[in-house]
Amino acid sequence: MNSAIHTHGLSKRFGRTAAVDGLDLAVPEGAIYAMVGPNGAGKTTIIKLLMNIFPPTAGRAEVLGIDSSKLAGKAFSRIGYVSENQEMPDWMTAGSMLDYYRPFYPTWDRALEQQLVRQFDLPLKRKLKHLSRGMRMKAAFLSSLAYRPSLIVLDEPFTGLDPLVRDELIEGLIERAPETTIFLSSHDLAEIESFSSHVGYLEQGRLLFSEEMSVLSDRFREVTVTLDSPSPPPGNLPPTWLQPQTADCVLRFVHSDFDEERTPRELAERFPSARNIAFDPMPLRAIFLAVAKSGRSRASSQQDSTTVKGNAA
Amino acid sequence: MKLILHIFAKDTRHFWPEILVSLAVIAVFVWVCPIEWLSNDDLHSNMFRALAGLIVNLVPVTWWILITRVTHAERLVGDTQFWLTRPYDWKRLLGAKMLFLAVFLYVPIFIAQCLLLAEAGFHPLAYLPGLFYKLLLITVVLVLPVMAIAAVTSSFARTTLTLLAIYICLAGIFALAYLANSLDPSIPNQGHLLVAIALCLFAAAVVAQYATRKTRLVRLLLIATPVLSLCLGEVRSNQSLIDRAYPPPAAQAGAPVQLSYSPNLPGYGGRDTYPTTPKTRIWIRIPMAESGVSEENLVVVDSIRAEVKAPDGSQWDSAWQPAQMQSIFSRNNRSNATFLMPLAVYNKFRSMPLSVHLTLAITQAKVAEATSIPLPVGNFSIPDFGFCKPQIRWSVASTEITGISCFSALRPPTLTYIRTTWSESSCSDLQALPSPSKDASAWVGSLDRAPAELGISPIEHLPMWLSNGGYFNNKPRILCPGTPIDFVQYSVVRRTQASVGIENYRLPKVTIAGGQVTVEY
Repeated sequence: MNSAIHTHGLSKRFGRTAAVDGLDLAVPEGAIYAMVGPNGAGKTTIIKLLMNIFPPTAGRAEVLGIDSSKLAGKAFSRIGYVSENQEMPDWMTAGSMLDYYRPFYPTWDRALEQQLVRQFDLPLKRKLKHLSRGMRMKAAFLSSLAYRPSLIVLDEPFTGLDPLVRDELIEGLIERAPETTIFLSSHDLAEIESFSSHVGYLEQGRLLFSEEMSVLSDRFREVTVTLDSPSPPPGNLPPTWLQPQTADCVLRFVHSDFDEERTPRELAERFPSARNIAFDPMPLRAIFLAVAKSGRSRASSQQDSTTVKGNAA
Repeated sequence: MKLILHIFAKDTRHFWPEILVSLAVIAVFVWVCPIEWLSNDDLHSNMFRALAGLIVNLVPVTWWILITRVTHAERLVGDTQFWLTRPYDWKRLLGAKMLFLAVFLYVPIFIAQCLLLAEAGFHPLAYLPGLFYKLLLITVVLVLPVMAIAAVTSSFARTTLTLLAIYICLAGIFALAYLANSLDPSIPNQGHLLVAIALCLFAAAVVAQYATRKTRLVRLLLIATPVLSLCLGEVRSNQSLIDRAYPPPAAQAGAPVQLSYSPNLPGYGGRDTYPTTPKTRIWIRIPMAESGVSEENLVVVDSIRAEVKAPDGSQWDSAWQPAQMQSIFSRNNRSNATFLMPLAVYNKFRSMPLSVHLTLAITQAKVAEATSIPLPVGNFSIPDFGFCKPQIRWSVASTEITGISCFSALRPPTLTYIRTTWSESSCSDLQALPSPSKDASAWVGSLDRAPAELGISPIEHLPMWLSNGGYFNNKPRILCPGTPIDFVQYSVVRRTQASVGIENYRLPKVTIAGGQVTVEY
């Protein structure tokens, strides 16, 4: 399958800070790819690198087959970009903004524009600066969907919106999904879970994983092992077991490499005296919390050990 | 082109208030300026001159607002602008901004200048090259710098602060140059080179910023290039520039004038007094007599270099300096060669007989046109010069002419000698009795002229101080209508160098007291 977005070793540094560090990413055509991660993980920077708003420090990216550093002018007539931080020509009315944008796009679809205006219930005669945040976002969406772009890039599009507006926008997006690739960043996991086909997890500028949503859901399980007697936490846990916790006779952890056949067998071998081993599917939010927390505890334990070593020295 | 017009139309809709204000200021300017020229009444004229001065300063202010606002409509600095991820092509965007400036800045000022020229009696079509050169100067000094700074700043406030900082820096540099008595010689046509360098620099900065949005790099270009140009200017010696502009006579058919030291020159003597500065220098005025200047010719000293040797072997070189006083040699006009000497050097040489070698960068000129007319009561025009108006003394029912004030189109006229006669009694007495009179003369204009001067107005006011003016026996000297007034215009024949050797020269006596330098000859 062709990639709508492809990056290789993409990096961006701001002074000494690495905002994005050696990113290798492939977003298949037709995918709804959600890039998630905590605040400051580098999601917005990646999008700005892809959109040629920032030049990369190293590596390269291709967007719709074009080197991202050459992305300009006409190439943007195939890309729709909406960002929570994007400025708008506030002095225009919503209607005059659409009138203004229309001649830039040869593929602008007036019928679709009118349909979206009705669907979003956008007040065309009000100035953008007088619109609510939700309405402004609708106007931004509309002006980025009406020309049927091949790629829609959304940077935290739903932040701060009420659930109704959020649902309307998602609905609008999903309707466009069959004809386009959607790449969005978010830290609102619940909403992207409902419609994303692919997901990538970013932490401190590094992509921890990137895969299809169904594969990810299959891979993560909350494991509860009930032992016949209280025992201390077992040593030498595999790195795929995240956030292990013990309480009395119960050991809980998140298995990040679950396999329906292999994993029960391995656990049974490791805990022969277990009375019960339960595998519960996890919602996306729980998966990311587990990954994020285990990432932070790994980082802090590395830092602690460095400090200890430093003190010892 | 369609998208250029589309962006242009958007900007026009957005900035109509700024456009309206800019056009209104230009309209007021066109209305006020002619009133200043046409009024013969000093008070009336001065009032409108002040108003015109205010408007002339308002025009660039409205342009600065217009240029900055239209550039920032699609800001180039930042990462959140709406247009960055829209199908904007930088060439079209820049084209739209240029079109906007052409329509709302260049066309109105061009029309205004044509109207003002016509109002002043100059046919605009005859001045088209000068008009375009004036627009070029406005572009280089105002439009492109403001646009370049707007292109590398993110808001109107930042642009304004940057411009203020640049203004303060320039004022500081000029103040330092003044305090240091910086003495760079004036070199003909040097202005064209500066205009070309500035045009290339600012145009390159604007284009580079639109094409690449590499703001830091463009800021660096804007800062580094003038600094580099200054450094290169310093590296390049004035001697080579002077030799190029004023080829030494060996390469030509001999010097047009032979100058000799004439300490007994009539009128030489007296004293010069001027305030001290932190780096006080002494004006050394050496009386010179000419020979070899034909009746129709004159020689103007533009720059001077003095090499001084003392009997003890010590020496001093003034390097090339601009001529400190107007030094014009004609057959009937002796003059001085004047240069500045640092106080320390003066103190060292003050009591010694000196050997002085003067090298003068001179322009030889000849009479191109001479016009003589009886002084009219009202405004009058002189071909290839401009128009003049008598200045009427402001008093009740007064019609006494106390001077004349002249105006030219786009630039000062070529060097012109104006000569007439003051009357020392009332003009009505003149009819009955022969009146005592006094010569009145003035030099106006320049032999080194660009096609136009920098400025908003196409009409240049020529300050003219006729010699011997003022009061005599508590009554002002006046010009009577009908008195012949001559305008002798000169054109450049060639530029060259002349030198004079003086032996046993004694420096004048200098006294410094009460913040004043007094040089006695």
